[in-house]
Amino acid sequence: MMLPPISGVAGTPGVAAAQQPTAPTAADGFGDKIASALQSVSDAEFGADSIAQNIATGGDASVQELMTSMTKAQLSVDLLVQVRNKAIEAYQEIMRMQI
Amino acid sequence: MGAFDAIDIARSGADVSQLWLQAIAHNIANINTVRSADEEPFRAKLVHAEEVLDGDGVGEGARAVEILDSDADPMVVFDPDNPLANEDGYVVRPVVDLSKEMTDMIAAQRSYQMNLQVIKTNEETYQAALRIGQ
Amino acid sequence: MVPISDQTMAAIEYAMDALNTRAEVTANNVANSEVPGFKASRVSFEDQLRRALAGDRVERIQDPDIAGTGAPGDAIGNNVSLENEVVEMMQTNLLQQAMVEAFNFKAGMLRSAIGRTS
Repeated sequence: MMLPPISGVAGTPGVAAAQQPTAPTAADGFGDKIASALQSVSDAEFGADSIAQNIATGGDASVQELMTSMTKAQLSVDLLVQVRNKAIEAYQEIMRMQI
Repeated sequence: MGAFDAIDIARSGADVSQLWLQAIAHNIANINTVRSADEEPFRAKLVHAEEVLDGDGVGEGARAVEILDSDADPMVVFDPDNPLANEDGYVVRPVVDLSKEMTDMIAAQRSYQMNLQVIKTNEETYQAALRIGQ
Repeated sequence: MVPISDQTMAAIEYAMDALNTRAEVTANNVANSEVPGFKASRVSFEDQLRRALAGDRVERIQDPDIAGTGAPGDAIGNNVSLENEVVEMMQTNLLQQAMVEAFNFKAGMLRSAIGRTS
């Protein structure tokens, strides 16, 4: 889904991993926010998974590590959902403006 | 190592205390086990315990290494009327120090109770940790 | 990107980990309270944490310090005081539960900031 370039909004809502913002004017675009939110979800979930596996196999990870990492993973997902919702709202707003 | 180490450690301590209590009970039960002086005397059982260390030298509880017989000197007594006496009329008394056994019993019971308390308190802590983020 | 972790949350997680270690060391002291020659250990982390928070560098904090209590041994060289260990254990339990509450508070604030739409 390509957003038409409008001043103040830039970037493609992409599936790629987080990238460095390129030009200063492109900073704070929804695309970057979604990409970095996706990265932090993937990191957080991977962290929680590996701790869960560690405990299940008798390793020395602690219960609180497991629970805090799961909570943070959930928060990351919540954040991603919010960013996506805001992006959709912005798109719908823009589509309305084109009349 | 595991997620509930404090409980595992305390359980190992409770096991050692339990074993100690059994040895003490055994010793006290034999406080009158007199034998012929020709035989080996009854000897009190002692639990030799030590700390368990993991690969990094961190303490992981305690364990009973072995159960030894007391090597104290036995007391031979002249008691010719005793049916257990040998030909010369001597018997050997059990190598048990009753006052030491009583003192040990109090210590072993206390140790056992404390280890159980550790299990109980840490279970509460782990339960609280399991409610993080819930 | 909204950071999930800040200095306070990092401090809470560090404290929970240190308290977990303290619980294990205390359990070990109690388990070995009658072992000849055994010397009790203590976990301390509060000073490190206070300094790290003051300098705003909790992410570079050192591990908790585990050291002997220095108490004198008894007739068999054992220096465990069961009364002290039981008090330590109960305090650790309560502190850990307080840290759980603190973490949940932070997580709740983040949830509000993110603003869930259900």
